[in-house]
Amino acid sequence: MEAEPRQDRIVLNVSNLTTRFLTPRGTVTAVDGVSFSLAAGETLGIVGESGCGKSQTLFSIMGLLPSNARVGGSIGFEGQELIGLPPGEMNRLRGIRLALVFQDPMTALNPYLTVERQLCEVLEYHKGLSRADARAEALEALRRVHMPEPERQLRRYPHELSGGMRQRVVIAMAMIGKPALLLADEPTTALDVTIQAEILDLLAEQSDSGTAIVLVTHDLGVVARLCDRVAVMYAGRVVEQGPTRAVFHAPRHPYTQGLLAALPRLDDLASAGRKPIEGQPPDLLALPPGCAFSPRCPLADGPCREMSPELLSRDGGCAVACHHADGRGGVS
Amino acid sequence: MTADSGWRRLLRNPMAMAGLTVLGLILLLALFGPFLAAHEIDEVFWDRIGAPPDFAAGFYFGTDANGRDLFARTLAGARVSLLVGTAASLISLVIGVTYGAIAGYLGGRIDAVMMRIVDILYSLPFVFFVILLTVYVGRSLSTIFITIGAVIWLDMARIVRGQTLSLKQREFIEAARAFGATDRRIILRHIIPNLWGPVIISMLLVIPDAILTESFLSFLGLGVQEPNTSWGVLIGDGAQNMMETPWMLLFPGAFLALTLLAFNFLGDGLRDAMDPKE
Repeated sequence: MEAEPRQDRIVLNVSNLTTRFLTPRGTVTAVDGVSFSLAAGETLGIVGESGCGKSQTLFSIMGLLPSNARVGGSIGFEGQELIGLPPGEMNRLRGIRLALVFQDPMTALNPYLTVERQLCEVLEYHKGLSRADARAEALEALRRVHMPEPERQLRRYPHELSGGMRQRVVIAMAMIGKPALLLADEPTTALDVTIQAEILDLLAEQSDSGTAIVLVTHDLGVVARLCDRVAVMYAGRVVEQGPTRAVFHAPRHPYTQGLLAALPRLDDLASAGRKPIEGQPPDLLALPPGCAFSPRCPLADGPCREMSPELLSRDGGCAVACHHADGRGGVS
Repeated sequence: MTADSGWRRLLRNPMAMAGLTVLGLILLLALFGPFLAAHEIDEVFWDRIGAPPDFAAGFYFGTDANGRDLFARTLAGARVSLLVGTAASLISLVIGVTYGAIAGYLGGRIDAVMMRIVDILYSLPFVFFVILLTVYVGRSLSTIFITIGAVIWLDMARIVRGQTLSLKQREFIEAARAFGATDRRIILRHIIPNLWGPVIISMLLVIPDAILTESFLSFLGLGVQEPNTSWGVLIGDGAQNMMETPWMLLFPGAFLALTLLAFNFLGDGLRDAMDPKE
């Protein structure tokens, strides 16, 4: 993996993405001013607790939000603005230029269609391929995801496959159109640990072949293994963003520090060294004034409770949104 | 491909094949009834009013209260009843499923308007509706089709809409959208195939409903007119004389029951054949 060709081809450029949901109880800002960009072959991990807006960021990019959602900001994809794109044009991009891998392969496949039909469906939406050609491409797609006995699997139904094999089919479906951008929503959460490793290797291979990947997960181990860069989200905002290694070695935001400290470590299981973050994620309808993390933050003081910190660039390519991030790079 | 293996499963299902065979036989009887029966459907035998079966004279099922051959009349009635039953199930299949799937899938205001239309049709007094139609369309067999057709798909639409609403939440529908499928494609490819089970069951329930509605309409003087007849009419007549001349109820009733049973066997087989998990 060379570094040079990555810089010149930005695939995705999200800036100030804001996704609001109009609910009977008020407006919920699920995604609040998220910005990042992604080059070909690069993998970005988005981590955070449940409800922090990481999945909604993906769905906003795919344009798959319910009708009560309002999206603001800009999503530039291969030089095209996705926000406000007519549904027909969006359909033409989905599945072929940008694809989504779902969390649970048990439910992401149509139980009434054979693997062959599922795969060929995608091609038929976008290319008028003959059945034989589509079948050949489906077979090729299964080979690319290292499916054992691909010819046999083509004829099978989803319920006849194991969880790992289904996720391979889901990834094969996502990759069959050779998309420039792959969005993965917790692609390994529903799988066994051993299968998880295989699926992650598979994603790494796709990334090596030039596909840009946005990976949403709450598993920091997955991020460390797969992602070039990581964005940590809290209450709809990115609180820390940067190269994975830099962020994980020297987290600057107290929330990132808390997430890393909460990880179980094999070397000190005995000492019970895990420190869960105290408190609960905030109610998005009743965000505290100032920094959304301040009620749970050990460092919170006056300014934190009054003024929301901006995401500012720091040294090492990182950006942190914390009033206390300056001058204290180390783990507390 | 799904359909091939589905057909193979259906052909291997003995119950479904038995049902199909019985339906085939009944259809043949209905088509060639006039050649099989020894007497015309409207020929009155004054000496044999309400007579029991007499094989030697060709009255296999006996005669009705007007002295006409019940065998000939039962086979003639099969035509109308099978036609009404099949037409009703096809109407509920095509209109009901499409309507319900569209309403359920699109949801929101469109769904609300579409289902209120169903509610209105549902709440119309049926007899009033029939009289209205008779005035405008006149009395004929086609009135029956229009009348039954207008209301028979309502249940199906409701069932399909409900199923679609829950199906819509499933992740593979979202996945299909994420792969760029249009609404039309999702409904045809992903929603409707997943509805086969409840659809086939309610399609079968529609058949006896339609056959009995037809007899009610004929009783009101719409649709089938004497001397032509239908199973519903024959059963209605037979029921009035049940104690004295039971064969007048027994034979047409047995045909109707056999037909419905055969449809149900076939339907169960179809449902199983459509389900890849079987």
